[in-house]
Amino acid sequence: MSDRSRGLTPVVGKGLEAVIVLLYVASLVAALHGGVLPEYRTAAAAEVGDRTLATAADRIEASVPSPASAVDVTRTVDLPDTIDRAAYRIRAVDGTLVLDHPDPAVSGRVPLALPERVATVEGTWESDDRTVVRVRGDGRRVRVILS
Amino acid sequence: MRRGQLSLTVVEAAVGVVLVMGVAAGFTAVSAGPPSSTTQLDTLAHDAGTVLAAEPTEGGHDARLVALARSGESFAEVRTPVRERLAALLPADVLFRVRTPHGSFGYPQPPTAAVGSATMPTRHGPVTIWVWYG
Amino acid sequence: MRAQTNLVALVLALVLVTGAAVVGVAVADGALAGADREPLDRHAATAVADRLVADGSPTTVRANALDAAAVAELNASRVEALAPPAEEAALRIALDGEPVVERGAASGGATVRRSVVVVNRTGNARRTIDIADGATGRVPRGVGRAVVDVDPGPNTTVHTVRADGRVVLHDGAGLDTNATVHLFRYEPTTVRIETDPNATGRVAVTYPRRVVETHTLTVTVDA
Repeated sequence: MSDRSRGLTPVVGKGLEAVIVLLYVASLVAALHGGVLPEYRTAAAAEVGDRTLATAADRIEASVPSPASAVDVTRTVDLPDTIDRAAYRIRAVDGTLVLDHPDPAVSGRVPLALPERVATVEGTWESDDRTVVRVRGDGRRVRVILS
Repeated sequence: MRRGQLSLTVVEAAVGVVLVMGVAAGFTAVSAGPPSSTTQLDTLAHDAGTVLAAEPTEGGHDARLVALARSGESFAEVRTPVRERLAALLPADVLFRVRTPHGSFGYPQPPTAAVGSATMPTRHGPVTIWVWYG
Repeated sequence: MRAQTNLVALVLALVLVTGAAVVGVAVADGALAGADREPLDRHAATAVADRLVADGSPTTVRANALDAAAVAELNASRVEALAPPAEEAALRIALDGEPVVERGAASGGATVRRSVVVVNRTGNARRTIDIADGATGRVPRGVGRAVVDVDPGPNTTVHTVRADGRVVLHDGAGLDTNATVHLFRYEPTTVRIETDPNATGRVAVTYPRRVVETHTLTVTVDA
């Protein structure tokens, strides 16, 4: 081999290696993004959805005070504005708390455990709005309102 | 020419492997931390305070909680029975400390453990109960 | 020749890195699964414990004081009625380790502990006072309500019954009744009768005898 050709071989070799490595990294990133990442994102979002629902239910149940003659409680509840970059809604339906989210894996429902005195639970919470729970009533009948 | 040196690419690959392993190990270590259970401790402290507020003292006019806060004399009288009562009320692995306007008693509070507390208001001043796992 | 050896080494290296990536993904999978602390389980356990122990609940006498009779009658469907989050979940409710309600295998769920007392109203104690002006009887500490049964003899008028100086029953024309009175719970009460001299008959004071024990309530729920 001539001198010049001999000098070129390592350059070509390294160049080839670099190209191969680049291709490899690109395909790996594409595979992760396509196959594994969306799954993880959904799983993490489902976890956050569960936790948000449980926290909301806990706060609502804790806001009903012990038996007394007149009840007038207003409490602000802190909820994340979005889950997985989408706003959601929490509704009170029939003694159950329902989380409505565009992704069905994140939505869920949890039954509320409230004392006998609580006659109704009503209202809806929008996640990006102020979320307040109001408890109103007299000694016998108590209403919980989400607003 | 065999110089017996490791190919550079293999060394680079080894460094890459160590890097990936290190990041993965970091994730494992951080996410395996135990949950802080101060809500549970707070609830236990509040339970203990509620029971003390409803039980009368041995020969007296008050609930135990009120007797702790009423005066120095009543505090001195009831501190030992209340200490025993709290030891019976709380689970065996839970230690406590009580502070009243007239003094404190209980176990010495460790500086770093997770601690739950409850403050019960009375007519004569607040009584605070701290609980922790010990 | 060296270029080819390098390529082989490169392929080997890439294989190593791929293996490391696969292991990393597997670890991430495991970490995600392990981070699932089942918030709904914890919510159900807290809700059941709160409902069992709350003031005004059918299982309690007052806040954190369980009624022994109600506890003996507790079963899974009553717990579900009290706390809907327990529906279709494995439950274990225990007092100081002794199971009170058990359904399914709840060992993998969330556990919540509460400090409670169990009040055992094991029947009534009865104190009889022979009627005479100024006769007294003593009701021990811890009794909030008692039934006073006034049974005067012939030619006897009982005017007043006092508890610790406070008038609880009064009838100028004479008491002959069976009535429930409220007493001050935190002190022993002295029941005193005011009547004419030379009075006969009996007054019976009946009150629930209470035994109070402390326990730790453990609630485990696995939904």
